[in-house]
Amino acid sequence: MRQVEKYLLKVALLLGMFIMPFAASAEEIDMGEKVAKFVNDTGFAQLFAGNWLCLVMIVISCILFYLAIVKKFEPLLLLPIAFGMLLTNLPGAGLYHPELFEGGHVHWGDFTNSNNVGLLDYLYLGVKLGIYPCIIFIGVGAMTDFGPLLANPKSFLLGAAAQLGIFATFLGALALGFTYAEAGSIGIIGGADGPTAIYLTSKLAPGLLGPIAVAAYSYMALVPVIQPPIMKVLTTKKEREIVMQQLRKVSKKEKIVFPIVVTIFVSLLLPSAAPLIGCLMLGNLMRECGVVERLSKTVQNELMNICTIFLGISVGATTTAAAFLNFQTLAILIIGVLAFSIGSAGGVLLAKFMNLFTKNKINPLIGSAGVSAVPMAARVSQNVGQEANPGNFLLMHAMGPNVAGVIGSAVAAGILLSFLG
Amino acid sequence: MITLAINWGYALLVTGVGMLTVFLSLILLIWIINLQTKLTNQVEDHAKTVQDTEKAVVTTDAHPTPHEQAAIAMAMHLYFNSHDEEPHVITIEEVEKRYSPWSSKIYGMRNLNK
Repeated sequence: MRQVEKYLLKVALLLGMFIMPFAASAEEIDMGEKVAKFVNDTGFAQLFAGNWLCLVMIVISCILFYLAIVKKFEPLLLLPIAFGMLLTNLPGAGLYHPELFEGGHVHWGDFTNSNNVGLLDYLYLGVKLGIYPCIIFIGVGAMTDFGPLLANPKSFLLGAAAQLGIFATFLGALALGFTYAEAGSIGIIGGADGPTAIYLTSKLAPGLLGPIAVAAYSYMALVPVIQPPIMKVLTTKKEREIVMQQLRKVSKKEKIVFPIVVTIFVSLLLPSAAPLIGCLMLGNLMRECGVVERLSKTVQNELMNICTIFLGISVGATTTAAAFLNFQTLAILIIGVLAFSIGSAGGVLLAKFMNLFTKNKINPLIGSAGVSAVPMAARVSQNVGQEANPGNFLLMHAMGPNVAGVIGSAVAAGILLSFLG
Repeated sequence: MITLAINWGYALLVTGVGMLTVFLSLILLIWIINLQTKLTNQVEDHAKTVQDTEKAVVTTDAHPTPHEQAAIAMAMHLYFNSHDEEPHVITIEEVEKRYSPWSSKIYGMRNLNK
């Protein structure tokens, strides 16, 4: 019995040793305070504590979801952008910290404290350092056939004329009170080239990245709505009916030499355009040379898709309530439409002007395809052309100015970067 | 957005030089492409001429050309008025395996440049 008593005493002592620390700390904790802290830390509490603008942004992100999923407006980019917008505006989530990129610079020192850095901050570095747009441009190059442009090099002129929208909008934005760098970034919306717009804005006016990306991609999706009225107003039915000469066959050698020549020439002329043009042409060379098929497939699919996801989410993350809900965004959205319209009109008008001198008439409808928006703008030219003449096939003719527009907008971005950067 | 006194002279300079550079660079690219096309065609024509000359030297035997062969065959066919006997039996059978290279996804649009 004594032994049993001794044993029970020992067990009680051991239990006491384990339980005592917990019992002691339980005395110190104020449970009420802890629960109050937990409640105050929730997003709901922060939302009702004055962050109601975040609620507005969440509603806007839901509208973008609707446009991407139901209306299918550029869903590949609009969906990640909308989700980035949703994530960054969730109070208390701390996924994105604009102060890490304040003043247009990356504050590397703050990145060492991982408590103050969110997932989207790390992803945003790819935008800030100009990595994602360039990688996406490799994929764009690998998916682009420059054959129609090589078959009809005059298309370059239409691609150049469509850049009128960029510079006209630059002046318009200045008149509205934007700074030179901001005006240049807004103007590039007229190029209708998403990666170029994001690349230039991340360099010139990172604060406007969110509104500009949303405006650029939304209007690119609205090309079939914006362009046809402009094309019809500026052309007669007779002009829309013009049937163009069959394009010549372009040899493989020409297609291989083209990206190399363009890279050397444009990079020597405008070194600031080298990252965009170089990446575009690298992708195209991979496609045309036919000896790196695996790489070509990778950049067209996996690599481009991965970068598109990261780019979309991180661009969406920059649309915090403070950065998005202001007069600037409204102004950018309005000027963006003008930029697109002026660019489209520029291409159509130059095609009409060229018809005064050329023997082989150009259908002016292909001029509007000079704004990049590949291949949507070319499809619009085809559709409007077939409305006037059902037997007319303008698609391949319009692809020339369309891909020339990609080169033209990259060149324009290089010019703006070297002047305003 | 900061409202500043805008130097319109500078803004117009950027616009003017910008548009001019875009046009100039793309016009130069037109010129380069035309030159490249000419050179490529010249090289190809030269290679073809050399090939044709070599062929002309080698082909001294009396083989008729494919066109001549086709013409001879047609003439013989008309002369003898002969053709294969057809059994008039329809032999189309349903295949078990519907897959064929024509419906293969791996031979899609992206492989056209082979």
